[in-house]
Amino acid sequence: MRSLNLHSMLLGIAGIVLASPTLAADDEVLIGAPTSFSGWMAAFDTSPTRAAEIAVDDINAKGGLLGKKVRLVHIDTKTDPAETSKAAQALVRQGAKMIMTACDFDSGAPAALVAQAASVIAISSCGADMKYGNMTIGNDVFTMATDAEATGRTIADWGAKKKGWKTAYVLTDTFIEYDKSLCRGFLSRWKELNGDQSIVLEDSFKNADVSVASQISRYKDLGKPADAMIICSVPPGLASAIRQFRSAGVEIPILEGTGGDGSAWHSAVPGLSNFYYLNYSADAGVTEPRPDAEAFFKAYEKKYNERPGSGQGITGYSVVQAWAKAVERAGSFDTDKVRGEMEKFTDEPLLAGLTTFTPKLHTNVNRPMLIISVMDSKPVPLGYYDIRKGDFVTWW
Amino acid sequence: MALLCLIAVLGGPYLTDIATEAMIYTVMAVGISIFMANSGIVSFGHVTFALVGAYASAWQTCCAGMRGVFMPGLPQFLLDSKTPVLLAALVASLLASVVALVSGAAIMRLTGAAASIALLSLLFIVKTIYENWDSVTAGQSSLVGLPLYVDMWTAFGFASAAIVIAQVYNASSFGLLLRATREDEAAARASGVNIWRQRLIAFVISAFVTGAGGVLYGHYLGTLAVNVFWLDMTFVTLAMVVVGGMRSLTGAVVGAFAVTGLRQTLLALERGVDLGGVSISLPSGAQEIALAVILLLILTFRPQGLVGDNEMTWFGGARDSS
Repeated sequence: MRSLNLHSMLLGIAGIVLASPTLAADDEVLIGAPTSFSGWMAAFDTSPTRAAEIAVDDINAKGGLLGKKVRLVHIDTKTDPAETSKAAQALVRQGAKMIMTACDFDSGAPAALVAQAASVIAISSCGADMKYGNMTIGNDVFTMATDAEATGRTIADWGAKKKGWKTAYVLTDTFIEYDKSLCRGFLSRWKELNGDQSIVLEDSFKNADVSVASQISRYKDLGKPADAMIICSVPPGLASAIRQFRSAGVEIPILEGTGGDGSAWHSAVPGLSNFYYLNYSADAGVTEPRPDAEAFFKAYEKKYNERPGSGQGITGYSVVQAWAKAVERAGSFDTDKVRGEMEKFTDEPLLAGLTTFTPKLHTNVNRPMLIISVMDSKPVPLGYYDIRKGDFVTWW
Repeated sequence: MALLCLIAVLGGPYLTDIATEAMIYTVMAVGISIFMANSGIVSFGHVTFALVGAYASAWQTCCAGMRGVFMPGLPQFLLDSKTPVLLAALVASLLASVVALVSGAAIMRLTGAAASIALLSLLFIVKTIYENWDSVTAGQSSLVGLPLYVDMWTAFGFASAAIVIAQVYNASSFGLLLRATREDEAAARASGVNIWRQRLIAFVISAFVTGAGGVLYGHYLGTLAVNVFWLDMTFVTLAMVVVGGMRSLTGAVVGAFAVTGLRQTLLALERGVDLGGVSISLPSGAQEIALAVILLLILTFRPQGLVGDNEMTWFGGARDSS
């Protein structure tokens, strides 16, 4: 047993040396970011976290916040919930006044729970699960995302009103919760506008399915083509499904939520056409219509030598931006006051888009989203579509 | 272990977190070890019981008023239940045992690699069921709001209890009979040992303890998702048992602390350490690679693990377990 004790003592001492936290200095205010730069969440967390760094740079360039310099402390949580919880606890102890949580509810919930328990504001970048916004964890938790169901409703509204499509085929990838919510929203809005009979077929597949041949034949066997179809999925399953439908001669327009984001997978579907998706802002390869968002992309490119991998990255900028605005209006870092100011946001023009929070809802259900059309592999932004107006809008 | 707690208390809150995590993993590693050390069968499936235990505890205690929202398919008595957390932990661990009893009745007839593979498939089966049983487990989305009662001392208590259970089992005639089958199956059988029954007994007890580990894990994080109880956790817990010593209980405890300590040290190095103004950091991903390399080195040069066959006793001396 002696060797065990010696061993643990050495480890313990190493731990003490390594873990001594750096506390916030008097002239600075800390923002904690327990997000993942490794593991599968890295693909979703990296660009929002970097975007948040840029927001911090912008604030400091203008003289800081309430006379204090802002510092963002990032801890890589490695897509591990236990690490996320521990990192959030460490950040709260260091005195972080706001915790930025992961772009996914399941990954970010442990950090949000810690923040809520410590009465610190927690804001997710692009976690579109309603559970981030409906007080499941508590009233200190917000998300800059547009709710998944609302996203589905928006693309349905646009297709029905602007394109005049009457019938739809709905294909859900049941692998991710976001996609199930997306299709649920699409279905409800489509039926409201075109009637219950307007859905020709509802079907599902799993992202890892190699073949969607049976889904294709079920659709073709109907003998009545739909005006459009929505595939609620993410690459690689999305790319493979689209390719198989196109090869089988199904040429109807294909719709998608933010899962179609980024052009990296387009090469997997040669000549991708008649494809429409929506997003918070333009992603790589698309020209952004909003000048402030374009300026952000330039700053990002300058700092990291590349554009953000996805159009969702911009939500990370607004995590800091939204909180800083609320702090300035409240004239204080006090959680209750800051929360109160955030809950007053009504179509607040943030980089992530027009943002509205209420005391009951800490996510966005009516935000205009950028619709992007892809023809011959070339993405073109069509404009920001507002479901409340049933039309494209500009607010800049 | 108590000494480690003391160090953790002195070392500040971050160290307390690490010690808590190490103790939770100790419970799981001890659970796995009860079966693996005595039967000699490598189990790739014990995380199943952590999964079953964690969710069973959530069914009884989770989410205050939100339980019906997350898990509308639960029977009414569970929806209404206000079970005290410790009783819930006991019931949850018992459920893990029941699952072990039912599945083990078949799997324990297999030996060697066949049993290991069957145990892995058990994990696949149970995980798939839990992932698609939306109305009872919330499917792929996570449960939030498990009461956070697990602090370092709770985990310490559970770990101590787990070690006592394992000690008592090891000292019992059941433990002795099972170790006999590990050393020589044919001889044990010839001496009248019912191998199937002995393995099943160990399997059920070890599922109980591993289940308790799962309960702790859930109530430490406050949230549960099925995909947490998957290959990563299987690898880490197995690494603990292998690093410490596959054939002894002390090995499991030493392994749990050594691996947790190692992971945290590497993690801290990945995040960057300031040593006299010079910042050193490892490339991200180094933790997993280093852990795998160390595991390989131990398997190559010290296949019996850090402590080998040695067991520590209450009196401080070492004895051979076999």
